Amino acid sequence: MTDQPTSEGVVHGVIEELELAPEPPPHGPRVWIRENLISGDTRVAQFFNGLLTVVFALIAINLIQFITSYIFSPERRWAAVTHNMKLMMVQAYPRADLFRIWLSIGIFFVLVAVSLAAWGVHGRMSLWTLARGLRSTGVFLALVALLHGAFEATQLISLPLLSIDSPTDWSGTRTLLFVIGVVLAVGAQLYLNRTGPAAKQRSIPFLSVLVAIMAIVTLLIWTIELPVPEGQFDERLAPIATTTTIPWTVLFLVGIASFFLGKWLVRVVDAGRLRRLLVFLWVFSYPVIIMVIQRKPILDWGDLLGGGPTPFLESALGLFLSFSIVGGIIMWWVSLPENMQLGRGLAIALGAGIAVFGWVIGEAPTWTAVIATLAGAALIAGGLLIQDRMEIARVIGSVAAVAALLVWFIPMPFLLRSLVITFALVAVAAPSFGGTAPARIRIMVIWVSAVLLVIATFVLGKAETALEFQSTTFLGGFNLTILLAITGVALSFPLGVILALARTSTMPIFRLISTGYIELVRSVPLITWLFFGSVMLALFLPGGVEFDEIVRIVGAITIFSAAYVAENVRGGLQSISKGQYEAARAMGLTTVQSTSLIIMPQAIRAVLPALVGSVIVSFKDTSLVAIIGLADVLLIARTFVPTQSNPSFLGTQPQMVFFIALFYWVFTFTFSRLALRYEKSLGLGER
Amino acid sequence: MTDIGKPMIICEGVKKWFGDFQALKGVTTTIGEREVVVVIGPSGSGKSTFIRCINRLEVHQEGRIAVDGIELTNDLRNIDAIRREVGMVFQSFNLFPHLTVLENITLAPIWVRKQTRTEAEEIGRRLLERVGIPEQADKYPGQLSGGQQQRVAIARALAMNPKVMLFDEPTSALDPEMIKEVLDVMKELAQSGMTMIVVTHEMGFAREVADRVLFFDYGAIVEEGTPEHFFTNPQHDRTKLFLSQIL
Repeated sequence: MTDQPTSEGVVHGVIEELELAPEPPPHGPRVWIRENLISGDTRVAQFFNGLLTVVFALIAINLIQFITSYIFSPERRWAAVTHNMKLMMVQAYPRADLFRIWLSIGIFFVLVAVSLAAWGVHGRMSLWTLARGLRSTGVFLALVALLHGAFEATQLISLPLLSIDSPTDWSGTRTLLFVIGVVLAVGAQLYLNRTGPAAKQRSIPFLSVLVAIMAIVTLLIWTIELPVPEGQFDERLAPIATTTTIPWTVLFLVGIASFFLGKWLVRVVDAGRLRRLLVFLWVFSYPVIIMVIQRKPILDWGDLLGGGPTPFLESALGLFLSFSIVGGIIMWWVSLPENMQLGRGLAIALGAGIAVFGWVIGEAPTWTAVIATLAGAALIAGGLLIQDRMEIARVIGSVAAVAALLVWFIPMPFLLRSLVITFALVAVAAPSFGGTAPARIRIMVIWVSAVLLVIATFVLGKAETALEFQSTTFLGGFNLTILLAITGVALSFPLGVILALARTSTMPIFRLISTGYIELVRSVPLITWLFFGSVMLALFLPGGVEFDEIVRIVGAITIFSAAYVAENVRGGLQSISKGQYEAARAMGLTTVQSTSLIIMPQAIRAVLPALVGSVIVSFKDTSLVAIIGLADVLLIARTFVPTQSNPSFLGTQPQMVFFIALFYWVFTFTFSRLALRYEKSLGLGER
Repeated sequence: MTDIGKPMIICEGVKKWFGDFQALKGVTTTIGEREVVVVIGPSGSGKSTFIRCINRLEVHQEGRIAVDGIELTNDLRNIDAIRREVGMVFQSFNLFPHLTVLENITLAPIWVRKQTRTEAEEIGRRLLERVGIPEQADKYPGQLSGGQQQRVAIARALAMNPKVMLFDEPTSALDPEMIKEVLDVMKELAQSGMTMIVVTHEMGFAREVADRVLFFDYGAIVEEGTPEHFFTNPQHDRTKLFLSQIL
């Protein structure tokens, strides 16, 4: 590698060895202070920045002190929180049936644990990050314990007097907190000093950190003594910790066991198959939990299986069988239409059927018959003109769409209506995603599950509940909050995506409808929509159609958040370059395929942070249902507990609201961190 | 010179306007099976618009285009049929960034050709080997170099087993070092008998591989001929000027 001078230049050769980067100069505390607390190039700037640091540190310390003084004040009756936990979680749910709630949580735990194993979530956390996190936590805990002054909480602005002795009975707790904090901080610092930069290379599975945290929580439940209210103490109203120690411990163990079960299943069964099964179970677990496990419905077997006054075809089983089989045959065929003549025949028959159907219905307004006749005639003409299989698929798709529109104008049971619409949706998608045998089987599974889901929702929604409770609905407290949030999000996402597509469509009528919807819905406050759902919706629905109040409220929340989801997704659609559309078209993908396989996944990834934001907003906005009289967790905490429960809890409203704020924060913060991890795992912004 | 078979693409008087601007002023040419045609010309001369009309990414207003006997009309069936037979490679690659390299390649065969996944993946891996990057199958496009991305794009187009390949300035967005690896793949493709239309500024490639060179300017073919004719003895003044500026 010697330099070789030539007549015109110098050849230096290639250096292939890599040199190690020079060690950064050691960072002593003085360097750290200069760089972080009094940074600045000139003396004046350093003085000014140092002053800012001191002022804001005082403000921060005061804030922590305010909060800790508030929490540890002798006047706080935290027993109001611990003793009313059951009320806040499930409101009037009968105590004898509480195992149903535990069972629901158990199903959730098992599904989460098996899914973690099936999708191979295996992020690792470096010990360096962990130790630094523990150090910060320890310092914070110690500060919290130390900073509690002998002040009333109202004194927000006061000089930070550090006082360890306090006249309250909380001193034991605070000493414990202080010791734990110091041990954590010192231990973490010692570890960091001993290992040095090597700690960055060592890591432990992220999941084991999670399990450790859960184990600590479980241990705490067993050991911590919760505050007891003054006055007589009713055994039946024992603090939540004493009644939930066993269920939570069992759930914890079940969760861990399920994780290893999942690991084993991944090895035994094919991972792809397990994941498909899990998706199916996730979708079904939710209605099963709400409608069956928590609701304890009384089933009418006559309605279910036919017999008695209900003819078999109108019973749940009859409908399920007829729609699954007849619809299934059409789906099967649509997803691989090889036989042209059959398609032609089918289109003509469907057209004739629709045309005749329009005239047969006596009570229907005449224009319904006219629309039906026109649609039928169009289909017959289409059937006669069919040239190849793609066209048959298109014709059947339009038949289904026309049928889905028609059912809104023809009087028929709501269940039938919903089934026809479901059929239309699946039938439109089937030709694009059918083809190979596995793809067709997948479509059949989706179709049969959709029929089952729709029928089960209706049957169970109609059935009376066998629970005994003194409330309008079996749902209340946090249970209601969760139901409203999950259902609202789950329903508003597809609706929002459809609206966003419509708003960016080339068809003016779709653009007009979608823009009108979004602008109308966004311009009216959510509370107005809730009132609309609660009192006015019945006026707009066809006669004889009645929904439970919960369903109407869910509808209102869905309508509202769909508009926001739509605008977010539209932003994502705009970020997709024209080249992506062109590449998809040049490969011969249909519009449905390129939208769902190429454009939409990218659009949603692009706006994932905004969508996470709108999920959090929906979750918090559920507290507005208190206005129309539904007892969500916030209403119970701020009104029921301080005014209507045990007399010893009278006037505890501020601390209940304080607790609820913390409670919401824990959920939304956890969710946003998980979303952040997911975003990172997708490699957003990197590829 | 490859032996040129029956006509694969027929264009007669193809005209195209963007608003008032006429981008194509009546293009007439016939491209035979296994023929490699290189289209050159200054920017804005309509060469990209011309090949984008062939698979209907742009809609021509007048004239006639037929690919492998299928007339390109407003009939969706014909457009779909032609897109299945015509592969396209873009200047900016246009790979799908959310799918792995292998998923990019197998997507259309699975959903358009209705192949099974195993079948499509087997073909996909073979194509990646053909373009020289079998080890990149499970990476995402963003993790590859420009040259590798463009080779993936070529493999993706080939996975549909097309009869014609269109290349729209495939090397213009690449670093000089990576141009050669893409051109090598294209040369190999040309030698295997693929019908190709290549819009490019790579004169070396044109001279070496093309059966015929079309020179576009102001939306029309100004001059066409074999590479020898074209590079050694151009007739039209505009062609001479263009060649003198780029060679």
